[in-house]
Amino acid sequence: MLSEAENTMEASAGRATVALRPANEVMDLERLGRLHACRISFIRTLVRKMMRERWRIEHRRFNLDRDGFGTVIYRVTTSEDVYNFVLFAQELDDSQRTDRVIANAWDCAFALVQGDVDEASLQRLRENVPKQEAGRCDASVIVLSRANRSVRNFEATVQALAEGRQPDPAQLARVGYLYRTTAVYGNGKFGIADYPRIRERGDFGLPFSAQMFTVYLLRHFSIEQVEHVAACRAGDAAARMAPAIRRYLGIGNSTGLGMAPFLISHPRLINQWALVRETALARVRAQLADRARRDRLLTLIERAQQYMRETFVDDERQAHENHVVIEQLERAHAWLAAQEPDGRPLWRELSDHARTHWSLETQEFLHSLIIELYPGQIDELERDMGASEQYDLVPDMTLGEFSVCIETHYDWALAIDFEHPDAEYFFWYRSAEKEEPRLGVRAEEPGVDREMPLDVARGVRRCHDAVQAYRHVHGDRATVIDFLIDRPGFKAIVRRIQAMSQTTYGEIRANLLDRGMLPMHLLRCKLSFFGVTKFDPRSSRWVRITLFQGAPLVEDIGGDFDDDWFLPAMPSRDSGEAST
Amino acid sequence: MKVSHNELTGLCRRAFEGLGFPAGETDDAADMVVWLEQHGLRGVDTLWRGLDHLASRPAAPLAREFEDSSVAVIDGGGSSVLQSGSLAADLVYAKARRKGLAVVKIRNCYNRRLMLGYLARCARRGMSLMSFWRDRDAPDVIEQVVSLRAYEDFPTLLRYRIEDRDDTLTRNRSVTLIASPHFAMLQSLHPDPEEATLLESVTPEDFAAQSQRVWQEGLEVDEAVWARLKELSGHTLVEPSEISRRRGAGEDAD
Repeated sequence: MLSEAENTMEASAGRATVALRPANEVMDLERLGRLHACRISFIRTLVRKMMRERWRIEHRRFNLDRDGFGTVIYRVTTSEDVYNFVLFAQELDDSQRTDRVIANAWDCAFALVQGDVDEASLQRLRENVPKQEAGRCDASVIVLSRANRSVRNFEATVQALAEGRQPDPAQLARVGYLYRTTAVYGNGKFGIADYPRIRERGDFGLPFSAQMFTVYLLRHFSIEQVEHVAACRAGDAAARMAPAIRRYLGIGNSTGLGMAPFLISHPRLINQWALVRETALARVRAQLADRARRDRLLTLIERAQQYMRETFVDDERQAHENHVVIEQLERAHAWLAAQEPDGRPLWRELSDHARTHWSLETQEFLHSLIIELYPGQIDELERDMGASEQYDLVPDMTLGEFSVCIETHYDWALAIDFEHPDAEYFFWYRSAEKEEPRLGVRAEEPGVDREMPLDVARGVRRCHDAVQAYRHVHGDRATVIDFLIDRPGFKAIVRRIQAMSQTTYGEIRANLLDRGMLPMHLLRCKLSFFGVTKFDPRSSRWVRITLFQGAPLVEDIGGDFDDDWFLPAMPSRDSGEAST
Repeated sequence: MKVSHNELTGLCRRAFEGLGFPAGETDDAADMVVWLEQHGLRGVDTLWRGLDHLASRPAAPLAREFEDSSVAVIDGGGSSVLQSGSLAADLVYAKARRKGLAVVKIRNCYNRRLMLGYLARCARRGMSLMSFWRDRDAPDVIEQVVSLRAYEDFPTLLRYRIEDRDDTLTRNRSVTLIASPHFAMLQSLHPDPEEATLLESVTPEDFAAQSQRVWQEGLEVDEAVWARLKELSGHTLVEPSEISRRRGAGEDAD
């Protein structure tokens, strides 16, 4: 386990030792909002595990009518246990189809269940899973989710297959999925199993792995369903989807502000994810290059360029950033090709060069790519992606020590001018509509009296001021518990400061109330650790993304596996016609 | 109804927030309730019985009636330990860390059993603790003694019936906390039969087994209690407006 105690702020590999990047660089929200998926992202880790352990995924039930509505059950056998993916697909009026959490009906709803499902259990699932938040499940269910069709893609794909041809790859490059999930619930939501129930088990012990696997099975269902509907329409004349196009299909997801509070309420976990990623990067930066790896990186950069060229977004800011990435990757390619690689710390040189010449997007994309070069040194880090969020007070710490702690580790928060009118422009609140987290303008909208405590920076400022006033009266030897008995309202922030000061990376460094704050960066940060791609912002607070695009198919499990499926290129039309 | 640990914790946290608990106390109070429930000691029922009292009066600040470096007597102001018990536990922890042994007595408080979960957290941080309190159960008195060894997860809880008709500890509604990082205090399993009868003994192994069962099966909570907690948590929610519905969550922002 990569623990804080063991962490020496450096990574050594062979002869060289390279420091981890500093917290003020890594935890800057602008940079976190430019992270890309990498080989220790949860999706990559899950696929490696599933492929290497040869999980078996079989039909147990496939009762769909000619429109694709009905019940499907996939039975999953791992080396450790048996699970069942139970899905209910129903007809949905177009007027009800929304990706918002406040929706009440979806094209399909599904659950991942530990163990086998008998008829009585199936009936309970049938009564509750389609209701999602309004239903109740028991602890045998470990993931609960729902999804909506991408109507245009779904219909176009069915139509193409029914006409005996393959769907248009160019359309799939624009929208690379048939279904979008709108929430994937784990960890005890609506009565399902708590995470500690599965944490100690090998299959889904890593954070979000059960949720990601459930999404993977939805992807399999989406392919089977669309082929089934096409076959019902056209019989033997219908085409099966070509494997290359199947692999190019992922699953979409729409995410809004609901993800943001998680990042703030799980600072240890976010610190741990950053620490693991940075350790991976430092390990690679410490290596001396060789020609074979340099050539591999050149290939990866070319692939990344093509992937970005085949990524289409409407959002002007993101479109511009993507354009810059494509152009700067070209320069990175030229720079790298001109270098004599053997025996040089070339990856560190590239990283340093990127830092001074190219955008944050390009820098972090390159970091994700160079991490690919040393799987033997990196993949073991995936086991360290978990962290406990329980913080304990250090009540006997003197206020003198505590003040040093704040001023050392939260200097970034103390530097914010909260007198400036823009510094508290926004407030976060939870709506009575499905308790959805939302962002309001403080001066304009009601609810300030019920503000969610996501204001870490402002909390630090207020705490520091109160501690200084208390010290002034009671002296430096007064303790944290003396202060808190007098001012119990500061307990949460005091405990958080004490706990996070012990970590390498600590907090996300941003004032989440500031007028200039882009919530998109928070969403992207978390999603990149999940391993998603094709960030397609629909606003500054809402993003569509794609998961598992390019990943091996269920039918690929058991065959040879090359963990090189990420950043897939758009298949050609020819790749499909032959399999009609 | 069956609920998960995480779900109950989250709802309690928001219910306490709805009751006006300060940040930090909401987390500790929720953890206290759920710890007791998870370990088979009816945490939710204890909360339910004290809920009206909690809702009807604001928390009284802890007032230190006497204090030196290793001893403190605190007036709980008639509050539940959910409102301030964790700070009292941190006080005894801090004093014991500095002086090797400390005693803190909180007078005039209720829901004292709910402190168990927080004391278990203190124990995991390297502190041995003992907690002691008495309740009137006419015509007798019920004495409860909890001991925890440093770095261990679970306590031992003993309940005795005491024949003591005029007990100041009961009248004071006090709880006494004793802490030391150097030695653990063990209760006697064989108290003087003339004065005390052992009613119940819950060992660390019992607590561990019960906890494991809950992870597997979830928790059972009365629907009326759940609805009341939901109602309280609703005080933290903001009624939707057209603006908030349209752009608050982000889909149509900008």
